[in-house]
Amino acid sequence: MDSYEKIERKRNARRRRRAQQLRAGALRSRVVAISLACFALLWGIVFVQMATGNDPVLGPAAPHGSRTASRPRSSAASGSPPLESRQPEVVEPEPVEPEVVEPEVEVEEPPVEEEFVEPEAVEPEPEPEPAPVVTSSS
Amino acid sequence: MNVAPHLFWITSRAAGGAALLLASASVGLGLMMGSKRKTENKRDFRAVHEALSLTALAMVALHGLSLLGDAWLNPGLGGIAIPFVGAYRPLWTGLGIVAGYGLAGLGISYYFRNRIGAARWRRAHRLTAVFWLLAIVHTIGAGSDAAQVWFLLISGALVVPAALLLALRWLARIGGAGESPQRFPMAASSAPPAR
Repeated sequence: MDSYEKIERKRNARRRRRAQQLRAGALRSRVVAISLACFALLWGIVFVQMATGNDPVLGPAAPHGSRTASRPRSSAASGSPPLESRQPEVVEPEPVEPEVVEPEVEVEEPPVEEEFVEPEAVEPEPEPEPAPVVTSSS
Repeated sequence: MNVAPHLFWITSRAAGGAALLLASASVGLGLMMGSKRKTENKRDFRAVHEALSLTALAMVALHGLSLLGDAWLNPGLGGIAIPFVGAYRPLWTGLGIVAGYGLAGLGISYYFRNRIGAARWRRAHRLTAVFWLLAIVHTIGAGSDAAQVWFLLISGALVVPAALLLALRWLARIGGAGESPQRFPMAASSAPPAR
C-alpha cells in the first residue's frame, strides 16, 4: 500500500466520522425539539383542562378527598388551605351592617301584680289505731 | 377558573408526564439496541438514546424543582429531595424520588464508564429498567392525570411497547440459559455495545 492510498483512506475515515458526528448532532437537536414540543403539548393540555374547570383535581368531577391522603406539613404551618381543594383561599369580606340606633322609647310597664297563692289545705293525718292488748290467757 | 396561582403546578405535572414519555422511549430504544439484530444505524440509535435520556433527566429535574414554586403544596427542598419525607403521599412521592435518583445516577454513570469498567457499568445499567418501573408506579400512585384518558393514550403508546420489550428480555433470561438467544432477538444482549 503506497502512501497515497493511506492518506486517502484516512481522509475517507475522517470524512465518515465527521458525517456521523453531524448526523448525531442533528438527531440530538431533533430529540430535544421533540421533547420540548411534548412538554409544551402536555402543559397546554393541563392548562386548558384547568382553565375550563375539567381538572381531575380541581374540577367538579374530582372525587371528593382524592388528594386528602395527608396534609402538607408546611402548608399546615403556614396556614394554607387544606388538600381537599387547590383553590386559593378567598376570604370574602363580611358584610358590615350599619348599626341602626333606635331611639329609646320609654315604655311604661304596667305594675306587676303579685299573685296571691292560696295555701293548700292540709288535711290532718288520722291518728294511728291503738295496738291490741295481748294477754296471756288469749 | 383562575389558573395563574397554579402555573408551577401545571409545569410540574407537564414535566412529569414528559419525563415518563421520554424515559419510556429511551428504555425502549435501549432495549432495541441491546439486540443482536444487525442494524447499520446503531450509532444513530445511540445518539438518540443518549439525547432521550438526558432530556428525560432534565424533565425529572424540572418536575421536582417547579414544585418548589407552588405556594399551595410548598414541599420545601427536603420534600422534593429526600424520599418518604414529604407530607403529600409520602410513599408514592418517595418512590418517585428514588426512581429519579436511580435514573440520574445510572444515566450519568455512562460518562464514567471507563473508570467504572465497561462490564460493571453494563450490569448496573440493567437496573435502569427497575427505576423506570418505579417511576411508572409513582405516576400511577401520585399522578393527578394517571386516570385521564388522554394521558393513558399518550403514555400507553410509549410505555406499553417498552414494557413489552422488557418483558421479552426478562422472559428470555428466565427461560433460559439453554435456549438460543435468537428466539427473542431483541433480548439477546443486555446492553448496548460500548462506544
